[in-house]
Amino acid sequence: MAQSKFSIPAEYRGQLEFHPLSDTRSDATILESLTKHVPVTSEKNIWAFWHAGVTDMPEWCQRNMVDWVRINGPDGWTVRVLDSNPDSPNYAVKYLPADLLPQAFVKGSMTGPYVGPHSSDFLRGACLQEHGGAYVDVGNIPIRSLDRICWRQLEDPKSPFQVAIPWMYGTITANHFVAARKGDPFIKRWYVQRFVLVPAEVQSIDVEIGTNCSSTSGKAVTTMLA
Amino acid sequence: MIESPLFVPMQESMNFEDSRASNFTWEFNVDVKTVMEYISQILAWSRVCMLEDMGDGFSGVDYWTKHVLAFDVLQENWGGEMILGFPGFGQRMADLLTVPLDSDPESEEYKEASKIVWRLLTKSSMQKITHGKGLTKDVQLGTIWDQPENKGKDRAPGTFAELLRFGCVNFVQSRESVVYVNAPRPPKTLQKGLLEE
Repeated sequence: MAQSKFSIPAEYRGQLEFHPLSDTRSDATILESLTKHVPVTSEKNIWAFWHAGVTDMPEWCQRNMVDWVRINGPDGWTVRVLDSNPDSPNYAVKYLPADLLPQAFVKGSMTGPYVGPHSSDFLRGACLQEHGGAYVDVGNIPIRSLDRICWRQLEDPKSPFQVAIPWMYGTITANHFVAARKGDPFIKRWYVQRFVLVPAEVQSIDVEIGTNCSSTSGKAVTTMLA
Repeated sequence: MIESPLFVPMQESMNFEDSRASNFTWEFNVDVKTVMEYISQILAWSRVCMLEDMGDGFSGVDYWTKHVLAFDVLQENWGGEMILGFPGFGQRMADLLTVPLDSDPESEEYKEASKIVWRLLTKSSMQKITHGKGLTKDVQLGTIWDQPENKGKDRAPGTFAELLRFGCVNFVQSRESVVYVNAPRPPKTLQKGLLEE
C-alpha cells in the first residue's frame, strides 16, 4: 500500500481516506493529451473554454483542468477545453453545429470586456444540449468526483433529476458549473432564450457585445424548439 | 441584454440586497446594471424557472422544482469565502496558501491555513476561484495568481497550497452526499411563452 506524502490529521480521519492516484501521468503529459481532438462517444463529458486554447491558459488553470482529468478520468469522463481558434483541434465549432452558435463567435469576431465569459455562456448551453455532461469554469479547483457530486443521480433512471446546478437563493444560481443530460428540455429553453437576448448583430456580424440589446429572432436556434 | 422586454419580470431581482441577505457579500465597485449584464445568463436561467406551461407541455416551474438537483454553492463551492468572508478573500486566501507547512503550528497563520484547507478537502466539492473581472473592489484570487510574481503559488512545494492540490486528487471524502437543497418554487410565475415579451 502506497504511503501518503501528507498525513491526515486525527480530527479529519473519519472524513477523508487516502486513495492514491490511479492516473500517475505528469501534468505535462495530461496537458498534452488535452490538446488533442477527442470525438464525443458518451454523455460523460467535462467541457471548459479558454479562448486561446488550453496551452495558453494561466498555469494554475491548467493545473485545475489536469486535476479534473485525474479525479474523473478513471470514472469514464473525458475533459475537453474548447477554444475559438479555427485552426485548433479543439475549436468549439468542431464539436458543435455552427448554426447553434452566434455567427460572431464562429467568425471569431466577438469583442468587448467580457467576451470570454459571454463566449462561455453560449458554449455552456450548446455543449450540454448537443452532448450532455458538465460545463465547468477553468477557475474551479476540483475536489470531489463528478459522479459523487451529481452524475450518479442524473444518470439513474429511477431518479427524477436531469440537471445539476450550484444554488445561491431563490431561482438564482451560480454560473461556474452546470451538468445536464443530453438534450435536456430546460437547458434547451435556457439556451434559446439566452441566444435571442443578444443583439442580432452578434448573431450575424461583428459588434461589441453587452450593450444595446433587444430581443430579436435567432432563427437558427429557435428551430430547436420546433 | 437586461433591458430586453423579456427581462421586465426580472427587474425586481436586479439588486444587490437579495444576494447580501443570503450571505453573498461581495463588495462591487460597479453599478447593479453592470453586474446584472455580466450575469445575464443567470437571469435567463431564473426566467425559465418562472415559466408556466403555456400549452407546449413544458413547465419551467415544475422542471426546476422536480428535475433540477440543486446544491448549496456556499458550502460546496465557496467554502473558502464561507470561512474567511467575501470582502478581502482573494488576498487573504493567497496569503494563507503560501504558509509553510513546517512553520509554527501554534501561529495564527498556520491555524487558519490548516482550518481552511482541511475544510475544503473534507466538505467542499470544488472551490471556485474567481477573477472578479473588475466588478469587485477587492482583487480576486484568480487575478492574483495570474500575476507573474505569483506564478506557481497555487501549488508551491512545502506550502498549504501543495497540501490542497495533493489532497484534491489523493484524498476521497467519506461523506456520502454533498449538501443539496430543494429548488424552491418561485413566488412569482409567468404565464408566458419562452420568447413572449
